[in-house]
This record gives sequence, C-alpha cells and structure tokens, in this order.
Amino acid sequence: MSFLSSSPAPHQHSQRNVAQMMRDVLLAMFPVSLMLCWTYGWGVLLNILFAASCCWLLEAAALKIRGRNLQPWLTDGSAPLTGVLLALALPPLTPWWLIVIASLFAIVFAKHLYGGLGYNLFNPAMAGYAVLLISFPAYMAWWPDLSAGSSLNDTLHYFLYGTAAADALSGATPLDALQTGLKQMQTLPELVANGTLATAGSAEWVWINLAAIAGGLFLLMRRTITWQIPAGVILGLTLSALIAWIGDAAVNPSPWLQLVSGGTMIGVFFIATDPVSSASTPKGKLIYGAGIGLLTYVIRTWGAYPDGFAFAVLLMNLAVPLIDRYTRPTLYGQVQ
Amino acid sequence: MNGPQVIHARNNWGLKLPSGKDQNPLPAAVEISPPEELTVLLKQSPGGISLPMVKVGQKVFKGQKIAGPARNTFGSFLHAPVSGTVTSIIEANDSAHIKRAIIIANDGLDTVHDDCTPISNPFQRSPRFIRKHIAEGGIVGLGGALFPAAIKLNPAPGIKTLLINGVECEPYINCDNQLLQQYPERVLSGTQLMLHVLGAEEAVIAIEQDMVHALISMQAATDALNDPRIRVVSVPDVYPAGGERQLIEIITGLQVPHGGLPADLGVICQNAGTAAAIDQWINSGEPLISRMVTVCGNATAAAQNFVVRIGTPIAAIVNALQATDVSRVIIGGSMMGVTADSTAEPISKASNCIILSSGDNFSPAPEEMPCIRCGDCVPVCPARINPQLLLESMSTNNTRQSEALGALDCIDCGCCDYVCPSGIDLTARFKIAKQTIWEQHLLAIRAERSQQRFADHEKRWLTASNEERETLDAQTAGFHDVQANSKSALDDMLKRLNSPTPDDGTLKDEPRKNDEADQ
Ligand code: SF4
Ligand code: SF4
Repeated sequence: MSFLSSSPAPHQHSQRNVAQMMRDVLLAMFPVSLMLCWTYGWGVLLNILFAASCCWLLEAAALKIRGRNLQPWLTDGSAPLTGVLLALALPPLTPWWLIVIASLFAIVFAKHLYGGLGYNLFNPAMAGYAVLLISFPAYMAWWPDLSAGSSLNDTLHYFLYGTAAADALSGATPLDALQTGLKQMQTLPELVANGTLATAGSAEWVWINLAAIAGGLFLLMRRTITWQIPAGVILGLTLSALIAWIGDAAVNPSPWLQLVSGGTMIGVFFIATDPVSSASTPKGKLIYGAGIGLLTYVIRTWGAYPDGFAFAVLLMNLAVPLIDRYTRPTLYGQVQ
Repeated sequence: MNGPQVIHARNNWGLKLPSGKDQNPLPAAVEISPPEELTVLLKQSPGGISLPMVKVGQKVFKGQKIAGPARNTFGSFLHAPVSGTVTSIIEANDSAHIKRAIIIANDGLDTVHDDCTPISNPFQRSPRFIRKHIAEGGIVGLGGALFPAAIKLNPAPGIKTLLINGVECEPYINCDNQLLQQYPERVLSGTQLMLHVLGAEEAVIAIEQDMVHALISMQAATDALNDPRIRVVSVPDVYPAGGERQLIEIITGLQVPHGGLPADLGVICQNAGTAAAIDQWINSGEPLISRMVTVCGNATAAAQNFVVRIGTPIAAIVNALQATDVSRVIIGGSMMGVTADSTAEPISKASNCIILSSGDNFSPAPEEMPCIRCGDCVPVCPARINPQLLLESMSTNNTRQSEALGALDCIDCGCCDYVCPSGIDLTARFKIAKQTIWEQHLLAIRAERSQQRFADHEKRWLTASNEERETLDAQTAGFHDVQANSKSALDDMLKRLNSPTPDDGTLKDEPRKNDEADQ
C-alpha cells in the first residue's frame, strides 16, 4: 500500500503571486520615472533610490522588532514600491531627512502598526506624504525652476543640507501655478497668456502623465490592476471639473487641465489602485475611484493644498470598509 | 437540419481555464479488464451509505445486488461488478485503510446474474415502475454528487424541463465527452425514459461549446431520432458552467431561489452519464457496475477514457497502463478532485477522472501571504460570494457572519482559490467553515424539526403498507448523514419532509392495471 502526497483542491492555480504584482507595478512606473528625471533632473532619481532603500530597511527593522520572519516579506516588493510611490509624490528636490520621516510614517506607522502587509487601512505612501504636507508645507511646495536646470552637484547639496540658491527653487508645478494664480484673481486665459502655466511646465507634465498612462495600460493588460478604480477616478475628476468648467470657463480649469497638470495619472494608476487600502468588489472599486476623483477636485479647488490627491486617497481609505459592505454582490438565488 | 442552439455567456463569473482536453474526435473507449480483486465501497458518497446484502464466502454473479441503501441515507443499491466470491466485508470500525467495503475475488468468468434482464416496452410501463426499477439498478447522479436518480426523478409535480448536463467544464475530465461522442443514442434513450418518468415537456441537452465533436455527434443523433421534445444546446466554456445551479442560470437566465431546488423553476437536472446508465439498465439489463473514467496525468502516456468496473482499485489501472513513478493521484478534475491516500482506493460511481502525477504536475499555489484585498476573487465566484469578506469573517471566528456572507452557498469550485495571488487555500477553509456552521445548525434542527416530523414519520412507517413505506423512506432519506453533504441536500430533505407525499398523488392518476402488471 502506498501513501501518496495529498493536497486540498484546487490543484491548479493561476501563475500570479504578490511579489510579481508588486514587481509589475514597479516596472510600470519606469516610463513615468524616466520622464520625471528627464524633466526635473537628478533629484528624482535620488529620491527614488533613497526612498526605496529607506522603506526597505525600515520594513526589515519593523519585521525584526515584531519578531516576524524576514521572508517572504522582504522580497515581496511592497516596501520598495511604497518608497517609489512616495518619491514620485515628493518634489524633485527634497532633503534626505524628510524622506526618512515620510518613510518611517509609511512603513512603521501606516503599515506595521496596523499589522503589516494586507492589514493596513491607509495607503502607506500617501500617509507618509501627507505627514510631510502637513508638517513641512514649505518644503513640499518648492519645485525646481525648470528653466534654471540643476546640476548633480547642486542636487546633492540640497539633498544633504536642504538649502539652495533661492532662484533655483522658485518654480512650481502647473497645478500650483494654477491654484496660486486663480487665488490671486487671475483668470485662466490670463494665466495662459502670461506664460505662467508654460513656465511651470504644463507641456512637460502632459508628457509625464502620458508616460504614467503607458505604465497604467501595461498593468491593465497584465491584469495586475482592474479598470474600475482608474476609470472611477478619471470619471469623478472629469465630471466635477466639467460641471464647473461649463459653469465658468474663465476661473475653472478644464477637465483636461485637471487630468494632466500635476501627477494625476500617477495617482490614478499607481496610487489609487493599491489593493490593500482600496475597495475589493468591482462596484466598490468604481465608487472608491469616483470618490477619490471628486475629493481631489474639491481639495484642489477649495483646499489649502495644491494637490488634493493624497488626502482624497486617505479619506476614501476610511470609507473602504463601508463601501465593501454595501457593494457585496447578491448571493446566487437571492436576486429578487 | 439545424445546428445546436448556441447560448452566449450572460454572466462574468467563473474562469476560462485551459481545458487540458483532447480536441480531436476521441477513439472508442476500451475496457480496463477487471482485476483479480475488487473493492466495492459501501459508502460511495459522503451522504450515501449502503448495507451489505451478502455474506463472506458467498458466491456472487455479475450484476447481482450485493448491498442496498441504508434507511435514511442517500445510499444506492450496489451490484457485483464481476462474478466471483465475497472474500471479506470491511466495517467502518475496522483498522483497514479502506473502510466500509465489500471485497470480491474475481473468478474471471463474468457470469451474469439472472436479474439482469432488459425491460421490454418500457414506455408502456408506469412512471412509478420505471422509477422503482431505476433505483434497483443502483443508478445515481454521475455528475459527482451520486444523489439517487430515482429520488430526483420523483419531485413535486410541475416539472417542465429535463436538463441533461453534458457540460464537462472541469479541466482534464473527459468522460462525458467520450460518452456523448461514442454513445449519443444511449444518452438520448435515457433522456426519453426520464421524460417518461417525469412527464416533462422538453429535454435540453447542454454541451460545452468547445466539446465540438460531442456536439456534432449528439446533434446528429438527435436529428436522427427526431423527437420534438429533445434539443441540443451549446453553452459557453466557462468553469464551472457544469454546476447544476450554474447551468440552470446559463440556460434559463433564472437563479434557483435561495434555499430552493431546481424543481422550483420546473427544472430537473441529470448528468448525461446518468442518462446513459439508465438506458444501459432498462434496455440492456446491466445495472451500474461500470463507468467511463478519464485517466490522464504526466505519469501516463496520454489522456484516455476507459470503461472501468466500479470497485477496480486505482493500482489496477496503474498496472494496466504501466504508469510509472506515480507519486500523487487525484480522483476528479484539477479544480475539485480529491487526492487519494493510496492506490488501493477503488473506483466509485463518482470517479469520473483519475489524474496520475509523478512529481508536481500542476502549477502549485504561491507561498501563502496575507490577503492583500486585491478583490480578484470577487467577480469569479459563481455563488456571488465575496470570498475576501468571508475569509475575514472566518479569521474572527464569526460563524454567524460567515453564514450571512454565504459560506453555505459555496460550491467548492475553487475559482477564488485559483486566482488568489496570495496563495490562500480559500476553498479548503470555506469547507471547514461550512462544516462548523452545519454542526451548529444540525443541533438546532435535530432539536426542533426532526423530533416532531421524524416521530410522525416513524409512527406512520410502523403502520404503513410496503408501498407507503417506500415513500416515507424517500422522504426521510439521508437525514442522518447530511452534515458531510451539501446544503442543497439538506434543503432537499426539509422540503421533502414538509411537502405532501407526491407519490400518493401520481399513484391515483395512473391506471391501476399497470401497477398490477408491475408487481
Ligand atoms: S467561494 Fe466557493 S463558490 Fe465562490 S469561488 Fe470560492 S470555492 Fe467557488
Ligand atoms: S484573491 Fe486572495 S488576496 Fe485577493 S482579495 Fe481574494 S483572498 Fe484576498
């Protein structure tokens, strides 16, 4: 009589796993990272590398302190991914200690205090970024002046000491420029005419967003993300912007401007789609996405921060348990 | 001549799985010659127990009854698959690895028992007679559940449609495909017999769209038969379209009400293999002593279908095929099959497929990680459960919530498991959840309903005539053994207990002379 190896059904599985999903996302962010580096110089690369390593080391430390195995957690790719997402949200010139603080909040507070991968309520990267937005708003608003161009030396100097020649930092993202301009009672046509938007890099940001879309399409094709969340966010943001824009096109940015100024598409495809902190049902994902879109618009228009995406994501994170509960599919046979 | 009606996917549940099946016309299936010793399990399914009717040392003939259904279970009559001698009867408490089984030493003569005679002019017989005869032949649902066919063919009145399930959606299993290609007339004749028993208006033979040759041969045979009540339809190749409730949803667009039965929609569903088995018994006089089995896996040369006697140990198949290095055996398909503990395990009426693997034949699940809430498991679930929420409720041991989230509606299809990137064995866990909930429920049910109803039935049984006893038995069948079975089995039970006895009604409508002739 031979005893054979046994295992529960099903015996066949799809070839997907968590580490591979995380790797996919990292890969998908390659074009947009490249585009950002192209536009803003060495700082972006520095941020990415530093934040990713920071998050990874903190992950290891947190696992150690919690008495968990380092495997498979350290190779699942989720910690470096958080780092890269954080880096892409930060201004291209950010002093290193700010990155350490943000990573600490992302990995230790937002992730491990909740129980680690799978249990976090908030999107770790956005939680870390939000801490910086609230505590160091000035640093977060300084973007390098595109026309100035920054050498590797200057970048390193700023990274290490947090100081630089003032004119090198007078820049802003088109979104900041837009918001500041509108608050100063300028109209959109004026902002376009006097070149404020162009100086802030409106054309470059279109390319950055297109690169993000390319990565997003890759993820959709690989089925690493589903279409519902990106569609929800784009729809939510477009519709709210459209209504306002139709109301008064002079002071309300068009949906197009909303979508391609600032890192909206990075958020749409890489941040909002974080599985752990987003809704899990197909319908829920649409609602979750639409909520982010709407809140982003609201915060951008009336809030104190230039880009509301991070806060929109965090607010919708809070709504996820509720969304999941109310979008549960109806059990077979219970359809009326 | 029309082709089969094509039904398109209305739903997005389920998976498109690589079928692992041969797409060419299948060569005729050959029989694996019965081995020297056969092991007929007395417990063929979790809810079906049969009791031995023979003694150790007794000589038996092929097709002779050797066991009958235990009262109040979904057991069936079992027949000697070969002629020979009963060498031992293993009881449940024996220390042997295989429990509850009759071991028969094959004399190699295949001497057929006298009872194995065809019924002449079955359509002249009363439905009741045919139904009873079907039970005598040990015919059970060959789709896997092994629910006695005769009980299922005895529903409350009002059945409009007989659905013949030829949708073999699970990867690797190919035996119905073989049957539909090789013996379409048998399936059709069994279908006609069941239509007769049920008094239903129409029969729909559902075949998966990628079983091209099965569709062709079945359509040709249907055209030749020209029975206006019977038509062939092709259904999308989605796993698990062959689940009873899933198939009904695909064909009718309706869902069987929660806690109800297909009969509530006027539908009775039977497997194509069951139809062929009924034909084999009624028209050729051979009870259910063999079945079509797909043998495949990387330890065998090529996937192939064989006719195998019930009770043939897997080891005998391994020998016959000269398979080497078998380290793992799966009975069933790759999604729902169970691994065998040893090759001494025999073929039962449910064994549609045997996968012989050496080493790891399949893509294993990734190393288990916590649920990352990706939600991939949600849209694939045919029962429309949110597996992710159900898992969460289980981790907090909230059985009440697990039940509300549909734990009992899980059909164990494994779709959620298949897609889960975190490698969580969701299906196995949900089986445990079901078990726990059922144990709690059964206590309550036993306390309330069974006491009342059961006492009534027992009282009536004592004073009842033989005929009525049968009806009463059918009503209470399976009551003691449902905890391991599916929810629908218990739903069915309770329904039966609560319904007026349908047989009483049909009896009165039938001409008496037939019944007399039957006795
Ligand atoms: S929960 Fe059950 S029915 Fe739903 S997909 Fe998983 S195994 Fe299948
Ligand atoms: S597929 Fe697995 S990881 Fe994804 S939500 Fe379902 S249980 Fe969680």
